Amino acid sequence: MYIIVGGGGQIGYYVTKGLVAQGHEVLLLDKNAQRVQTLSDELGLNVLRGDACEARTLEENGCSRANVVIAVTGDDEDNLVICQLAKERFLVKKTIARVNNPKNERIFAKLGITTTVSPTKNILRLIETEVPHHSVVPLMNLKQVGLEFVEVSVPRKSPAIGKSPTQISLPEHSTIVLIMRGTNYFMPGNQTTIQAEDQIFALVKDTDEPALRKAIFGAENEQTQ
Amino acid sequence: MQQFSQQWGKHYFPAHSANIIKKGGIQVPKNLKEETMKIIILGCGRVGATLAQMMDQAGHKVTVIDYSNDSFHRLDQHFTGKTLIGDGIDEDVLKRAEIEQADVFVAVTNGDNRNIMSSQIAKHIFQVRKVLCRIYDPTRTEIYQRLGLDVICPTLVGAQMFKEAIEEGLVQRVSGGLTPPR
Repeated sequence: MYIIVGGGGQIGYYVTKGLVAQGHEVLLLDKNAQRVQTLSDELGLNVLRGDACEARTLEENGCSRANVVIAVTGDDEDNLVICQLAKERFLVKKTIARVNNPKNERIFAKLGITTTVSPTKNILRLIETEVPHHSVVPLMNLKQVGLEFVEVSVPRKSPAIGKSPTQISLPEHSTIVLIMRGTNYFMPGNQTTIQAEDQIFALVKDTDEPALRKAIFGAENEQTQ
Repeated sequence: MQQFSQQWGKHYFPAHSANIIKKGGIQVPKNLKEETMKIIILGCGRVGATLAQMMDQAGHKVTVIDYSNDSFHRLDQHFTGKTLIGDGIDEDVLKRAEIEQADVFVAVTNGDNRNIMSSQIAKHIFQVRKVLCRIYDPTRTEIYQRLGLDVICPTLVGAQMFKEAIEEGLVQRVSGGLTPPR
């Protein structure tokens, strides 16, 4: 594949290196001459000085035959424009944008850039998974259908304890998929009852998270440890 | 040149500015309630600050956003609008500027991409009625005009004005010379 990478920071560098190792034809673009010099020493001809936000730069480097354009500069606005130019002007099928402000994921999607990677969000998510406290941990985001796969651990005073998954009032489009208890797991059936410290895995509509929170943690101590 | 600026003027200055009457030295719009607009200006550079003061004087509710406090020095002490420090592509900052109630959003920071992104947020996320975006790069201007943004490209406008000024000068020289007009 021919892949153009915009932005030669740490992410751009390692992405390019990885893609070259996989045998792809890769071109890394960066505005900064000094940075390009450093990168060229290691990546050779795969690096060029140029502004990926400029249509001319993209054109000169054969953007219309690129299979993928990846925008990983440190500025969200630049990444948006790189991807929009690639899509609108050069009809590139696949664009991937890095977003620094996690909220921009939604904005990018609304503006036509659906594939985004948010390092900030991933780090936040890792902290939530690694540092246990009673909250809803997002595991996977199924963006196309607006669903989220989440993990919840049941606190000792949960209003859900003793109930079967069908008895607790969950939002309409939410489903408990799996209950984990120590080393055992249960598919939710009518006989299964929820116990304290169970790990619940559920599919929820991304707007319904507060309702799930309420069902598991109760209304008053939503955020308590 | 005159012809050109008239053409742009017609297009981009609110029609009601003609209705403004002078009252004791202060300009007050005839019908404040009906004609006051809430205008957000992103970027307090020379253009942003000048425009903010013009709109403020015309009686509109103006909020200027810039990421640097220093830039607000460009506004004189008569400016009665609001100033807000923050990143114009951050949704939360725009909400703090009450973008949900804004009638007009103008993006005039010195970064084309910043203007492009904030204008698209204003238009597509917050549905601001009138969104104007400055883009210096003519290529990007063309692309984003096609995508539905109202773009003013100072590069094209400036070059065009120079061109017309040159041609006007030529016409004057010729007509003032040996061959009279008509």
